Amino acid sequence: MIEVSQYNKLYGDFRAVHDLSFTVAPGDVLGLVGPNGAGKTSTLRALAGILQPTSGTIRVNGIDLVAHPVEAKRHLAFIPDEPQLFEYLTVVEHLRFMARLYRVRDADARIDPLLVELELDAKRDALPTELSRGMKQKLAIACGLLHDPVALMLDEPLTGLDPVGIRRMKATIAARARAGSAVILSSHLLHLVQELCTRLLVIRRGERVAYGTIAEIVAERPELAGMSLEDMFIALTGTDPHSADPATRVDASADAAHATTEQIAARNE
Amino acid sequence: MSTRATASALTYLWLTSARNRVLAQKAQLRQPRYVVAMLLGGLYLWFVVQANGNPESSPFTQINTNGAGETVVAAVLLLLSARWWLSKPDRTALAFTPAEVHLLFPAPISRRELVQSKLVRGQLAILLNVLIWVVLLRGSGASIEGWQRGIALWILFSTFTLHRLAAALVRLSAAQNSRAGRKRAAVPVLVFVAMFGTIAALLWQARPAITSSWVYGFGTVLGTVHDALQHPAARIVLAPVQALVAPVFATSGTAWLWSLGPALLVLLLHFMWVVRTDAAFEEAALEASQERAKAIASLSGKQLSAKRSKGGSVARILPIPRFGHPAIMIAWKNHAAALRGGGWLRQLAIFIVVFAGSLLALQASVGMPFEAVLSITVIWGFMLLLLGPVWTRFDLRLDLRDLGTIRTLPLSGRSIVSAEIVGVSILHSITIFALLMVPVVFAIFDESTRSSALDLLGAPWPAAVTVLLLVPMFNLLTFTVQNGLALLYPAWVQLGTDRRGFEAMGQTMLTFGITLLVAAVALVFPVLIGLAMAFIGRMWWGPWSVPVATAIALAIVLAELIPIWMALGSVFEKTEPGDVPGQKT
Repeated sequence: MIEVSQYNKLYGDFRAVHDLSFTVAPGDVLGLVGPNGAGKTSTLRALAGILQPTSGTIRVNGIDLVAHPVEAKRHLAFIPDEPQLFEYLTVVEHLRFMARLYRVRDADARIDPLLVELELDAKRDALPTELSRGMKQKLAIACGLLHDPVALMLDEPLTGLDPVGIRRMKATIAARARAGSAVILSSHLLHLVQELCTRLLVIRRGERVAYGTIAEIVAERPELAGMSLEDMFIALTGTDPHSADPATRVDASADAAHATTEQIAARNE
Repeated sequence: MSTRATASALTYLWLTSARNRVLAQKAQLRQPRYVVAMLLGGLYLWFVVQANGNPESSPFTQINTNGAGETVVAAVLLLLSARWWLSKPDRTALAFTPAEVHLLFPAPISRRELVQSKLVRGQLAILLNVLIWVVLLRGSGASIEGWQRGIALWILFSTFTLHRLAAALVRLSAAQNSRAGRKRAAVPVLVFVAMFGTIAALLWQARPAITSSWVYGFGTVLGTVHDALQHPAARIVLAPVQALVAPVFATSGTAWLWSLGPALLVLLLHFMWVVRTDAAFEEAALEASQERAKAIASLSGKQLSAKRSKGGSVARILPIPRFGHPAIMIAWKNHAAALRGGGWLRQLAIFIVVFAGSLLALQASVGMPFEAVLSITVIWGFMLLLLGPVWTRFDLRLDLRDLGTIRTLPLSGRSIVSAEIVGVSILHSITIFALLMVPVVFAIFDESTRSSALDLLGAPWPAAVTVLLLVPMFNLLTFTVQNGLALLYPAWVQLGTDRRGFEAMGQTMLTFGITLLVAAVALVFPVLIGLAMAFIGRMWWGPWSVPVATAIALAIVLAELIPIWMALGSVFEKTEPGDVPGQKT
């Protein structure tokens, strides 16, 4: 369970996130979407304990992240868009390092299946400099999954993965949610969001503009009914790909979802 | 793109980058701690200038008797530059930033212009360090004005930067371009090897005189080395370096002016050399421009890069500790970095072998007594103790660039800070202990020195225990200061393990001075209590009173440090990736 209440983040005078509140229940996959600079990264980094909220509370598994960061962090995993690895540790040493830090007792029993699941078993003794971008991403994911986090946060998890890796990654995320993890998935790939997420959180300029299941969002904003997710995104964030003003131009990927809100709602139900 | 347009674009890039850098530094002053640091830094510099106010205390007056300082500095600089020619090609000299590789390399800019832009960019660091050195060396007691010494230092630093770049270009050209490149590189390589060889041979010849002059003090040693280098061959070899050093050592405005011409000539020749070497390289280069960009991009790799041996195995690291607080893993990770990326064990082994070999050679040639071996060891050990925190950087200075990752770990700030400091202190203490083993081994295996060693040490076991306690105590203190500085002033402290060249020596000296100052203040109380305990304890414990007193002093130092680590832990928890420049994310 992830609970965020009245989260604010200021950088000097700049307000990156404003009064953001949401909850991710066990088994839920929340899609965090918004245009560039909307505050997605600031939100994810605060949830991962990297940034200190200026105000507001963040609870992971019922533990206040600001008051008890160490206890809270034991239950979460954050996988950044750019895999950050220690250059001087091999793949398997990374996992053993994380296992010791997160007090994973049956580390050896978990490491091998995880390496197989993420197709890293042949690279277990490789250094990060010897891995491709996709392999590094897989290692970062393996490090995040090793301790069975209650809260899993992924920032653009498919970047650098090959088609097979993408399929496996999607299956992994879904499996983790089914196993009871609360998952937050930040991505510009709307088809991924559409496929995996049970709820949506759309933010723009640090503020929440929509939150809930597609059906709940449409119920709140009837004008969105019948729209594809891409159109919905544009309508909600006020970004227009054809606008002359670059600030309002959407940067969502070209392969954004085209299923209508009805179809999405039906699938999620 | 025309040369003028390129020059204009690159000048714009350099000026705006410099301006933005200054503005970014200025923006740091919004934080009170940076204002306090600036005021303290100003006070420190003022103190240094005032301390240097007496003409008799001017370092130039003291060390340059009969031009000895000038000659020795020239020889040292020449020998230091030997590594650019004798070790593997210094690829970092050619490193470009990722932005430069991505944006400038595909642009219609010639390689010569790229090299020139790199030289111009390097000027910022050179000018900053010239400023620091001028302040450190000036004082009212200095023999020439500050601006004059500034120009002299600028010429010296710029020439050595050019020389380093030229060496890298020459050797890279030889490595990349089969026969033609090797042929072109052969002449300069042979010339410089001959120069280094001449100086090294003369110094080797004079080693008995140099060794025996140690007892008369540092000034006499300088004079002896100076005399050895008065050989006509040495004078010829050292002439260009001395021409560069002469304006720095000038004792009057007139002497400075006279010495400026030859120094500028050496600088100009180096500039032309770099440009010509580059042209030759360009002619010989066969790669397409994109491949070349890729090749040079790979040269910008960090110093810390884990490598495999030729056999394909990675260096072994310590096994993961199975018990204890998880923060131990931070120290374990940093030790892995030292063993793999930093080649710590290899460097330590080389250091011990060279040190032991030098001692053996000196003893064989001049029959050095154990007292001399011990004094040399103590001097080396002391230097390592003082300089170690500047050079051994497997701590927060390494990890702050990974702050985004480290912050997600389930560890408190104080655990992380303590583990970082204790881990690196252990690592550096092992280095010093390993070095101190050399004279112990000497004393054990050499019949003639054994008795004198025991006489000298009085009680070897209490002395050994004292050293075992003293070294980590001092390391904990100095590494706390270094890590504290990095954490409190990440925008001002060099992060990572990259050791920049001599142009960064000014900055290094400043942090070194601050470290010593803070460590000295922190040691006052423990040392006083320790001395009192040693004095009182002699009645009951005899020679063992010294290690007992040292243990008490160590306990007091720890009592001082633990609250500081907790405070730094709190700072760590409040530090965000945006506060630290050079984040990997």
